[in-house]
Amino acid sequence: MRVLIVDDNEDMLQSMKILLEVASYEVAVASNGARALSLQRERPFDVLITDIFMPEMDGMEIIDQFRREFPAIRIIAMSGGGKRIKGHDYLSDTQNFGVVATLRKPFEPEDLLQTLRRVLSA
Amino acid sequence: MKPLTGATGYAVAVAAVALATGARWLLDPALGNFYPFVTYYVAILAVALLASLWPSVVALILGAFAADFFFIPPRYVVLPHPEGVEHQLGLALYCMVGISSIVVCEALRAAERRADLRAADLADTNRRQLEFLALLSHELRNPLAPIRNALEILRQTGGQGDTGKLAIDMMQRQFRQLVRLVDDLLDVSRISRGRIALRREPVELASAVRRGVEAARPSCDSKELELSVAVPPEPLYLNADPARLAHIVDNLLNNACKFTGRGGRVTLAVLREGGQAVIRVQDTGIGIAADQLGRIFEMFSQVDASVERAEGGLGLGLVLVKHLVELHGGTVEAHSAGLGKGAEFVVRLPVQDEAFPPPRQEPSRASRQGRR
Repeated sequence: MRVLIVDDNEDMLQSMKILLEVASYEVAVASNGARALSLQRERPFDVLITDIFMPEMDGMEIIDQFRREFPAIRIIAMSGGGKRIKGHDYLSDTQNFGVVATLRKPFEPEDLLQTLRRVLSA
Repeated sequence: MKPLTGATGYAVAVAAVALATGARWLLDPALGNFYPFVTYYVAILAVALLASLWPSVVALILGAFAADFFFIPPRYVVLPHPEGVEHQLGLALYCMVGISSIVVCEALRAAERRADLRAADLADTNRRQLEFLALLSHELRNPLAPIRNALEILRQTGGQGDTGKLAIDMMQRQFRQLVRLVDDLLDVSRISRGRIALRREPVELASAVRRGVEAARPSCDSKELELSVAVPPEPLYLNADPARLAHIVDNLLNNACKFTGRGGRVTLAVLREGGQAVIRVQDTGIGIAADQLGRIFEMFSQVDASVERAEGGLGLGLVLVKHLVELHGGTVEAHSAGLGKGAEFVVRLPVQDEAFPPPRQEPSRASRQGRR
């Protein structure tokens, strides 16, 4: 199964990549939305895991673009977004935009694997 | 309560005077020529309470004419100087009491407006602080996520091999990020309690600047920014806290790098202008909107700026810079030609020339508390 991860924190990307590769996923990482889209166009992924708050293209935009261009991809959103910023729980909000699961940072690596399994078996 | 203005206000003024005239008319059999103004006092007070300034003044003048016309003998003529000293005194008293009523009511309303503004101000501060707390929790969680992942990698690899080393490096980097956040937070808490103390000593500015540059370099390098530093050949001496000077430079550069996109340019120049040392930091970044320029050194000002949200950080760097510069007796200014036009920060600090006096003795307790 092919997984694409988008986050602006390089260490977050690399550490997730290592953990998921150990669990035998095929993983690619992108530090911004434009890069993620071009990777996806090259060869589609099964799952997209994206951060929400990022410079350049925001997580919400990434989700929106992927949904429109690749309706089949399953999207997981992740964020440290306290509980709420400006009265919004952005992470929960993403579920109204076709996100199938959310991960609140920091998460247990086991939760990441479980979430992935659940999303892929659904 | 909001005072009645415009047509409604004037209508109330006229109605009140008409009512007062009617009431005085009913009392006329009992009062005769005595107390021609008695009901008008009540009318003026009522209008002053209900309506704004000009309707009240109109009611006052209308009332004077109405009383003069209907109730001061000779009746049904308006005489500017009513006959009889008691009526002249009555008119004067009426005017004085009426004007006082109007003035007092206006003053009350002004006080009410000030209180409203202040309440709105406090509510705004409160909202910013709550949002800052949400931001803080977000920013503290962010480095924790890769640390948790790296910990798992360490558990799996026992810290051995390339992957193990990678995990250790990750944890170190993210840990430093956390320390930086907590340090900033501590400093800001000290600022708001006025507890930052300087450990002043004779400092050569260029060396302090270089330390600040070294501290900031990783964050500039990670975005492949071109960072150039120019210091004058002759030494510039300041009576300053070297760690804090480096901190000022570090924060300014971090700020410039944060808001400058990949491949941009950040320049730092140190120069001397008269009795002042000038540190100038310029970037080719996103710039600052004109209406934000005045606020960027304020605490929690960046909470609202979505740009800051995306770039991470608590937005405390510039607050610290301003405070530290002012503690050194200097000034800091921000310039920008607008969004997308880059920004420039100019710090001016007094130069200490002549044979340097011995470092000033700070209270020993304060100096022990000094940072790092």
